[in-house]
Amino acid sequence: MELFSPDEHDLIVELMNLGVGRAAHALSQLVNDEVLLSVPRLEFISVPEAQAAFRKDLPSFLAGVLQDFEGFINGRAALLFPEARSLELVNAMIGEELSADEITELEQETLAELGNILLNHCLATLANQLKQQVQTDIPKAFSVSAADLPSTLSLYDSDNENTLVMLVQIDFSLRHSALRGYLAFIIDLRSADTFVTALRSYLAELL
Amino acid sequence: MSQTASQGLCLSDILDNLDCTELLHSLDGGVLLLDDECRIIFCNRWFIRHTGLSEARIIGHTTDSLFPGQLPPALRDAIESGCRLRMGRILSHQLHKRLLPLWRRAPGGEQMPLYQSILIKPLSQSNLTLVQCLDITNAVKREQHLRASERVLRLERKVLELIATGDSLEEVLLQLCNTVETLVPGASCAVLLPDESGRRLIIKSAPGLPAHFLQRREGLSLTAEGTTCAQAYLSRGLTICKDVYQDSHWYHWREHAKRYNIAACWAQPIIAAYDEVVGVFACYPAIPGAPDDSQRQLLQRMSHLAAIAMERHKRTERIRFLAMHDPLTGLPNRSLLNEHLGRNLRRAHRETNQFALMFIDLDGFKQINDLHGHDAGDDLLSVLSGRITEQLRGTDTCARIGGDEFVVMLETVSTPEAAEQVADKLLMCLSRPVIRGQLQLQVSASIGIALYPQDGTSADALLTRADDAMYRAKALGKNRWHRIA
Repeated sequence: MELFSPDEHDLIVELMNLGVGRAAHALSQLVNDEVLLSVPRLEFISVPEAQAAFRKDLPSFLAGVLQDFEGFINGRAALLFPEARSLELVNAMIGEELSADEITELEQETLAELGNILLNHCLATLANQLKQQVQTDIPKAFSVSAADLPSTLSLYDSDNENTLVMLVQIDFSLRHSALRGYLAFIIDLRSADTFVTALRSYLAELL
Repeated sequence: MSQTASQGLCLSDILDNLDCTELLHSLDGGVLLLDDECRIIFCNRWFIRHTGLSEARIIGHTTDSLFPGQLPPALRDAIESGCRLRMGRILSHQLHKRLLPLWRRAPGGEQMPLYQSILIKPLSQSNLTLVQCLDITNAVKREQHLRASERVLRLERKVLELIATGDSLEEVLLQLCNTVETLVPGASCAVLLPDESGRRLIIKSAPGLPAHFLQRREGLSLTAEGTTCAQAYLSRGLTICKDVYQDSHWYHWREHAKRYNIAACWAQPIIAAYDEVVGVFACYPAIPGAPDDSQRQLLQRMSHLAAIAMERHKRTERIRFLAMHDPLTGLPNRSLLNEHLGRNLRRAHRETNQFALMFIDLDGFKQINDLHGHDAGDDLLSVLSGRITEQLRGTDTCARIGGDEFVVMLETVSTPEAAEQVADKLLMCLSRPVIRGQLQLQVSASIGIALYPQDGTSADALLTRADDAMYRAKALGKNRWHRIA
């Protein structure tokens, strides 16, 4: 899908790195310990392609955080992890070394806040830098099997035509935990024009 | 009209006529509506109830001006970015222990901080932002309970590992105290064991209390008038003093209690096999009160582990004792003699002391065995070994190293004559008859003396010299001591 030019693509990668960096700073302050985040890969793919990527790279059960957004772009953002390791991440966040068997409601909330901070920073940075507005809804933590993931993420029931997925690999490292997750931004293509226009005017200003 | 359709109609009717304000007021959770300047334009009754402020006092103000200087920066930022930048937020309890200064009434009536999480949701159709405050006290309690039980299991496993790998008793008791101190915040713990007389309890382990507390030599008197720990020891059951300042048994200890921040005492007896009370596990919380069910269980489990560790320790000590002592007389055997001798050699060398070694062989013992049987011989040996020990100081050693052979080590002697005097006394006491029923058994002894450093400076040299001297004493007519000049 050639929606964005190489320059525009690079710009998005740069802005995502900036957003993730700000999120890492916010998280570090929150947990009083260094949180490192990096974005090794970013790609724009269709929903079926995203499904294939998830099937290939992610284990059969996932935990994550969902957050809807609207503004200069509309859609749904998600942070995704292997379910088995999400608890480890929460424990690292709250500085506990325990391993209860399953995630409790309090840990669901903590995970939701973690995703919330990350997704808000990415979206806000994107919007701010492009001089646009974006509004986010409250986050929801969820666990889902990989097979059911597409229906959890999709914006409209089985309407994959009008959506585009910005899939961002993200590496976490805090305390003694290191793990890889995904940020998925499912963008309503009907709002993609504003996005492209905003990217172009930003790039035009640079020249 | 089908039933479902009629229900659908009813529901939409109800929803159409619903008073939203009333609905928000009846919610079991806090609801605030803020405008884009963060000012509160609505708050529900729950919120009013839990702040203790009047509605008039709240409306029109920002949360920041309602609670000046009391809100954590993360909450202030989240409210700002919710109202102004329209970013939805969740603030979780685990990452923000303190959010809004809200209170709840505990079942006992006292005011407790309200555990909460906060949702900030910018509303789509307006410039308003919804702030929802959820009371998660019960979830926090459940979680704390879960974490605490998991921690107990972990610590128990650690202690069991320590016991299984044969770590020292001190180490295990220390770990037990640490475990309870972790799980009952603010409390110090101690393990108290009875002294040899069985009349006092002595503190054996107390990691949370200062060293000089451990060194209190007097111990706790084990009488009915004793403190909580003594009572637990005597009553064989958990004994609770809710408030040491209200308990007359603690009268003499109030100074200590004050200094070490002790408000209460929960004492759990440590009960070993055959229902023997072997000690007390004591927990000294910093706030007055009785243990709850989970704390009672914890004390029981810890004292049970202490019992296991102490029994194992006792068995190990017993095995060590058996390996180092002669079973008939209870005297040290050759191995322990060698240990003591080696230690004394190093010390004598370091401190330039003199010490003496005596090789003792009984005269006429074989005949007693032959005439009266081995039982008689054994009895005689027991009695005579007791007589030898009576002539010695506590720091001297008497070992049985063969059938009727003993070695005595006098830890220090000032002159050769001092050793000779001891030898004289030993000859006297060993030649006194031993009465066994109708029988009168009598032997004598031949003693060889070797002195450090004059007669040798190694264990082997001294033992050989003393052995040779003993043979000389035999050759010279027995019932005498000899020292090779």
